[in-house]
Amino acid sequence: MSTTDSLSTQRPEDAAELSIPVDSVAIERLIEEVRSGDSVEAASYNRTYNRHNR
Amino acid sequence: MGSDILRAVIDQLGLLSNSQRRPLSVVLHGGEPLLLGLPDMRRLVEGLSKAMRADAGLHVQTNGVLLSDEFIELFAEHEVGVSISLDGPAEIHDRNRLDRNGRGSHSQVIEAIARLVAHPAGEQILSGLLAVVDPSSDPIEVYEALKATGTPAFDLLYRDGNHSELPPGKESFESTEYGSWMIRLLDHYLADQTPPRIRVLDDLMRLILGGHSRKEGVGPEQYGILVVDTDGTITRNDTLKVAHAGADRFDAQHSIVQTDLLSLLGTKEFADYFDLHAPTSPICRRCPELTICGGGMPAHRWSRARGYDNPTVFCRDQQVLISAMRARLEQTRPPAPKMAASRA
Repeated sequence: MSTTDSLSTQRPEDAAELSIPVDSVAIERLIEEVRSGDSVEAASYNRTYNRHNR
Repeated sequence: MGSDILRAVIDQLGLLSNSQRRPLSVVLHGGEPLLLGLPDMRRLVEGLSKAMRADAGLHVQTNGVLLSDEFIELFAEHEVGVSISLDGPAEIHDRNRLDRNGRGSHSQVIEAIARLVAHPAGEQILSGLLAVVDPSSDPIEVYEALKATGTPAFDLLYRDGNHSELPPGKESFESTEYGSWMIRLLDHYLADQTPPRIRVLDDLMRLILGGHSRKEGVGPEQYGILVVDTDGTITRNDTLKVAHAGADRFDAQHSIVQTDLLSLLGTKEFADYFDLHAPTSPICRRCPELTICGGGMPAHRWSRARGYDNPTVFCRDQQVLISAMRARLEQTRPPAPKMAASRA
């Protein structure tokens, strides 16, 4: 069992230049996430679920 | 796990969750967490759900072999996210994942995932799949095999290794078997019109785009991970075992029954452990991609000669992968505006 907390050391970025047409679904949704401040975080995509089991 | 340990885990993680600023994330992993058995798992999940703050995450990382309908019902009832280890098609998965009788577990895992996907709450609780990369495999076959399960996401781990004991399939520090494998996967992923999530690729590309990562070992975000063993021992991140025997141990012995978790977080030995995550190698500190790569997992930086003062053993792999991502992201930028031409 493991527990995590995190300290953000990220730098703010200007996402304005991300308003670009793309033809990759995977890239498009990432751009949308960054544009919305990474607020798109579905419960099915939690930041730490993939600990190891190997 | 004894009842005193179970109670202490619930009480201490409840206190911790309610004391810290960021949401606590608890992951039950192993070994194999379902070996805890249904009654104790129920006590643990019910107890943690009550004790922890509402925004805390509770997840299970399992090999899926013991994932009965009763476990699925329990996890659905308490919104416990489930991630299942699956390395790809049978011939890949069964190379390394055998059941107690020495037989490949692929068919059992596929059956467990299918039951989870079919459950009314499956969409909510199936977090994704976790695959360990075998660089001798075909990444497109792996991608398609994982996607075919119906999972919404999957993540990939590089195989264990360090500078003194190279990961399987890696010829040398300079070689890029893992990076090349990931680039082939990346291209297939980016071309897919209905792609699942691939967390490690998403994290790296999100960082390149100016966003945040969500995974340890990628980007500059640092995670204060503590591990509680089934005997109650509190250790540092158990991935450090990849460095050398005992690397996951604190200087002093700590038990979840006897050690106050909040006090431990305020000690110098925890601070020293936390600081270990920041890369110290001059190669990393002058690397223009450090904010994307993050220097990798500390365990992958280890060498007998220099301890953790190295770039990750996957440095060259990450370099080629990040470079490939930059090139592909650059291709998505629109052409420069053209002057409008008109005929009178």
